[in-house]
Amino acid sequence: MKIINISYDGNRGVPVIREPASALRNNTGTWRVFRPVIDKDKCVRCGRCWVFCPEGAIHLDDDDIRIDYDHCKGCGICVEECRFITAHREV
Amino acid sequence: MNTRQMITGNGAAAWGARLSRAEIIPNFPITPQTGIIEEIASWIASGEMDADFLPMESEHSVMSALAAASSAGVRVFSATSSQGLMLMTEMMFITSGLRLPVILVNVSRGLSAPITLWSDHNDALVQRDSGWLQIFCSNNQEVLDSVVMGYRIAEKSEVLLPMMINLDGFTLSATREPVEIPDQDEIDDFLPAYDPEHTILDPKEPMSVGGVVFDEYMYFRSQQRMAMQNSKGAIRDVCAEWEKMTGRRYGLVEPYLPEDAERVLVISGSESAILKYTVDKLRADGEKVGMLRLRAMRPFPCEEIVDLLSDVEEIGVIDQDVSPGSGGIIATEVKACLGRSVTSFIAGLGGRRIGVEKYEQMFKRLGRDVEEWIF
Repeated sequence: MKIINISYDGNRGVPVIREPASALRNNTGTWRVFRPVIDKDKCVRCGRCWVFCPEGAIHLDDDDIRIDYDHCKGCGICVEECRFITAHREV
Repeated sequence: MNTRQMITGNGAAAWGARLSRAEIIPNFPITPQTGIIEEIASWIASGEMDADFLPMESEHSVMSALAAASSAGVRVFSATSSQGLMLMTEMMFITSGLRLPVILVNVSRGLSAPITLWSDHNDALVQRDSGWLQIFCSNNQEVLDSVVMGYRIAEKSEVLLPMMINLDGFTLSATREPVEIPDQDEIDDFLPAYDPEHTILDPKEPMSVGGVVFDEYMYFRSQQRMAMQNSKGAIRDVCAEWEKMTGRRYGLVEPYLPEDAERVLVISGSESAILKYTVDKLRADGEKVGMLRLRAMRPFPCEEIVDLLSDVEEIGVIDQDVSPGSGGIIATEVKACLGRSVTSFIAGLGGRRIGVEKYEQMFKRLGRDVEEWIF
């Protein structure tokens, strides 16, 4: 039987990703049900949440720490690890 | 120089891997396959084969290691049977989905329960939807030849799919036959080193393998489908090249089919040898009978079946397998190709002997739209 509406695309049709860090374009933050929020007044920037975040969605700079809500999936591990991070239901 | 040796089917499979210069051999023992990895282990120990022998903790890990090593650009080989093949199932789909040209020899053995050690084709046929090419061998020479040809076919850019080479447990795996072992230089010319571009874990050119997709999933499945479609041409081309080099002829099917044949039995695997003998015997008595052996099960050789069997009056299909709730697996597929009914014989499960008398009985009982069990 003849196959009528697909063609073979060679190496382009193989499921590999050739461009490093292209996952940044996937806005996985939309998957989140609970939003972790850091209490910046109490945070001492110890970096525990940054270590435990499985998505690399927490950024720790010299004088700031912030959650990348475009990529945080809301797993809640940081909430479990730090008493100054609380979970709030996304509206 | 070519040599001729009396070797088992397992030995022939091991020779295929050695001549193809497989470099990573992850393995796990299971009857009746173990002879293959034992042979390879002894060659690695003696320095006759340059490969890494990786004893794994399960067949699932064997298939994972095959996929990982192949992703790193290495030619890989392993062998399994029956329950071991079942344990590989999850990784089978990953290997074909990542389009890795792995070669796996399956020494076919019926599935438990109850436990059997002897041959039937249900283990291999469970994997028919896994995206692997499947070749069923009928003798030990074909086993060696199929492994070497297998790498050439699987590594072609229009294919890039893994291949399972099936040989029947004990009937071939433990039986010695004269096998022509080609010269290593000849095989090196026929089968150059594996040098992939499509899936290769190279730190200099980073590539992520095995990522998540969303709507694109269906696209990649369509590509796998097309690769399998392309493999028909690749098998024909490589077989033609092999015939030029060795004089031994293979294809998607093996017709033993004189033009005047009116009654034909379709079969696969090593039991075809005794069926050929039966055909000769009956033809000597003036009966117009013939045989068609399906060598490729995936891709399914539909064009060849239609071409060779459309004008045949009565067709029977012998299945050494069964899909309870549907029937003989090969009979179902042959019917779908031809668009007409065939007589479906279920025989030889768990190594039960078929033999000349039973074949004669089958030839007498064609022309009925039934499934008959030949015990």
